[in-house]
Amino acid sequence: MEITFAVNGSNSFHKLEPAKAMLRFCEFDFTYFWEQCIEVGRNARKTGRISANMVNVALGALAKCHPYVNACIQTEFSSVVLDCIIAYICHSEGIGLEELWVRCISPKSLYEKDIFRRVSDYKTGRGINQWINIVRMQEYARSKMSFIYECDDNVMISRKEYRTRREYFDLAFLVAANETGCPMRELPSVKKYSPSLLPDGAFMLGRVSKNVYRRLSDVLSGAERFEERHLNDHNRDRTALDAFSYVKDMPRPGDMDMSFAVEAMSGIPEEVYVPDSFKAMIDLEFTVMYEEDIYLSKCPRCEKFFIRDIGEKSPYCNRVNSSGTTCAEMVNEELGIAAMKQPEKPRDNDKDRRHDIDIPDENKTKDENITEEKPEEQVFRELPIELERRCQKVYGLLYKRAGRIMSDREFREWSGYLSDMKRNFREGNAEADQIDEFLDYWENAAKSYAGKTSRFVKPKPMSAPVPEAYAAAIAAVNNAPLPEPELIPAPEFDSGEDDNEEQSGISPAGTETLPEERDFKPFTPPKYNTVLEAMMDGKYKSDELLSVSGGSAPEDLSEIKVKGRKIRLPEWERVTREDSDK
Amino acid sequence: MEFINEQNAVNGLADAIVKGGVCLFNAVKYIYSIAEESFYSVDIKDALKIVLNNIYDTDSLTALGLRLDNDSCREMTGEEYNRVLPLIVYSLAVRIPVLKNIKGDSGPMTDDQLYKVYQAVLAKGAENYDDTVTESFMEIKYLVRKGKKLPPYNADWFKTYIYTHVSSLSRITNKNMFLLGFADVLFAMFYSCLEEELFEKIKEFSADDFGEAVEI
Repeated sequence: MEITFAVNGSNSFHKLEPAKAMLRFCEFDFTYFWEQCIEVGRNARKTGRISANMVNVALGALAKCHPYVNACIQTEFSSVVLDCIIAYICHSEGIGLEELWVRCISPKSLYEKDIFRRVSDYKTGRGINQWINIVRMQEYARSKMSFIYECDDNVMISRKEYRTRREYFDLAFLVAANETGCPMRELPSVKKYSPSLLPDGAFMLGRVSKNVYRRLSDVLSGAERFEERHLNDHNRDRTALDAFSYVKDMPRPGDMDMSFAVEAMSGIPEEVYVPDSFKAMIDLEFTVMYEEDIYLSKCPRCEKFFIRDIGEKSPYCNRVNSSGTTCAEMVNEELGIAAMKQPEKPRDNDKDRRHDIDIPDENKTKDENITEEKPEEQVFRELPIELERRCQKVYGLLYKRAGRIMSDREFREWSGYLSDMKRNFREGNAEADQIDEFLDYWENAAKSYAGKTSRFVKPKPMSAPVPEAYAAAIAAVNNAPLPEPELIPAPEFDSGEDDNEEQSGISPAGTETLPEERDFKPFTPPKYNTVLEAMMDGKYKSDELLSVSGGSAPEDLSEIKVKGRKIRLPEWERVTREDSDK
Repeated sequence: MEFINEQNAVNGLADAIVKGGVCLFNAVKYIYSIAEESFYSVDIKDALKIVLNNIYDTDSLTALGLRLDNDSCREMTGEEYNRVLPLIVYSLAVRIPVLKNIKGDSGPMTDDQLYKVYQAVLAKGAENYDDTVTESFMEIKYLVRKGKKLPPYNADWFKTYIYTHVSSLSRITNKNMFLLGFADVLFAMFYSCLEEELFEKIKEFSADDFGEAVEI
């Protein structure tokens, strides 16, 4: 099941798999994107301009979080990297947007100009901080998911109750919005269209539109231009029918044109959703999940949500965890039950594996998706126990070295790849040799890395080039201390304990010391479960960030200051008629 | 006052005054455009902050979503309104004697130097069309010499000109009332900042060492 949607500013159709996209988004780790943004900021601070290439890399990392974000990455979310940098500056320096805006009011570089323009967008309501928006949206999706799908004792509830929970959640939001005076008609919403009635349908179905235009060009060339600036409830029909009047006598196209249209339209979906915001898209996903009988459940072991079939008895997920096995397998082992004994549904959990959010399935082709829906008669093979153990061994080796031999993200991808290979084997699409070969390569890589690192484990100070006695004598003569032995630092990454973010050096020019003078440390994200949690921690609150004056530095904003000097209106004096006669 | 290069100083000061005039002329248009469709989204104080911090360049106002186009400033597109630019520059030029208030080791700018700057500004196109600006160079010079308090720079002449020459702006409309209201504030504050900038320019061109003890 896929949802086809379109977004403003794009003439393409986009697809989304409900539940799967939701799970991915809710568990998406934004740390990599965050790090990229901070790197972009550091670079911009040094060069005076934001590198488009670095921005594209960061956007690429973010686009994976959700198909909607991917669809709007060049429109709604095009400034999200700058938004992240702005949020970071405000956070690390404890300032509000107003202060940042004033700092950049006379920009000395393109970087400062970009910041100034973006904050001006916030101030004038022409933009919001999309980075904060995405993080808050993740929190929203998580809350809604927990509200609807989290069940006591992991027992699935009735369809009706799931629906009621969803409606109740939405209604609660609506009540809050209403009571706080939100303009209700302007709240996020989704419209559903037939493709040819889409606002941009003429461009999205360009081939057929051109054909239509050719047939109507004579009539349309003499048509009057539409002058009215704003459509409203009163003139909407009239305007539409005015446009229709030019095609009312159009005969049905001939066979050639019709067959061309049939061919052109065969590939497009029958219905298209147009969400006007990210929240609308998230809400739509929940609705479609309900309509399609897709239910989520929280695994009591790993406490993560997974897609659970309506008749599934086991509450444990089939997500491959750090030990290389799934929660279901581990629980079965613990209970002494043969892990693979499921005669009625031989490898039903493989179906669930497709929903494992660690597996980047977004880029799968249509054909690949078709192969997933194999008939039940298909023969599934068991993975030999030796091979399974070896998989676990190599997994464990790499798991210990995650963050060194490969990044955490790469490790997750690797883990997903391994899961894919195992699944392919079970489905008969891969051989044991291939898995062996794969494991050999990574086992060697892990071992050879371990060998290399041993040289750096204990850095030894360089010995003095002359015997100590002579060195001491020379030092005494020169009245100088002995030279400090030079240390070779071990190439270790930051332990993550130091989360002093003020060292990043991202700030507008003139507000801090020069980058060369600073002691930069690798950025280490704080240890939080969610980015929102991190933002809400201590002084960094999104509300505070969005407030006019920030939190810690109250300032009298009624004054207009130029280079620190207060600009006031002249003191006007009241002159009477008698005064003027003097 | 002794300059490193007097001709450069005269031209530099004249340029600064003309640039400031152009900026004020554009700033009026930009802020006027707020009334078109940004009245509730743009804070005029933000616009003033931007203008006063960038008195030679108003491009930063575009960051607030303001545009100088025929839609938002259609009332200011006529030939009559375009005469406001030489008038603004003239109104700033007559205040050049105020620059005498900054004194270096070699004293303040001489009357001759001030007059040269004034002439240079006039040569760049400043013009008192229809005697709209009531102040004169000689009058200000007299007041400065006598140490009398100068009347604040204001938008009275601008409003007079609008009422008498630009019919599209003299009609009673929301936009036009907005224009006449903010002009008073903008002109007074802008001049204050420009004056400060001109003092800085003089320090740049002067052969004197101003150091910390600057008498203004």
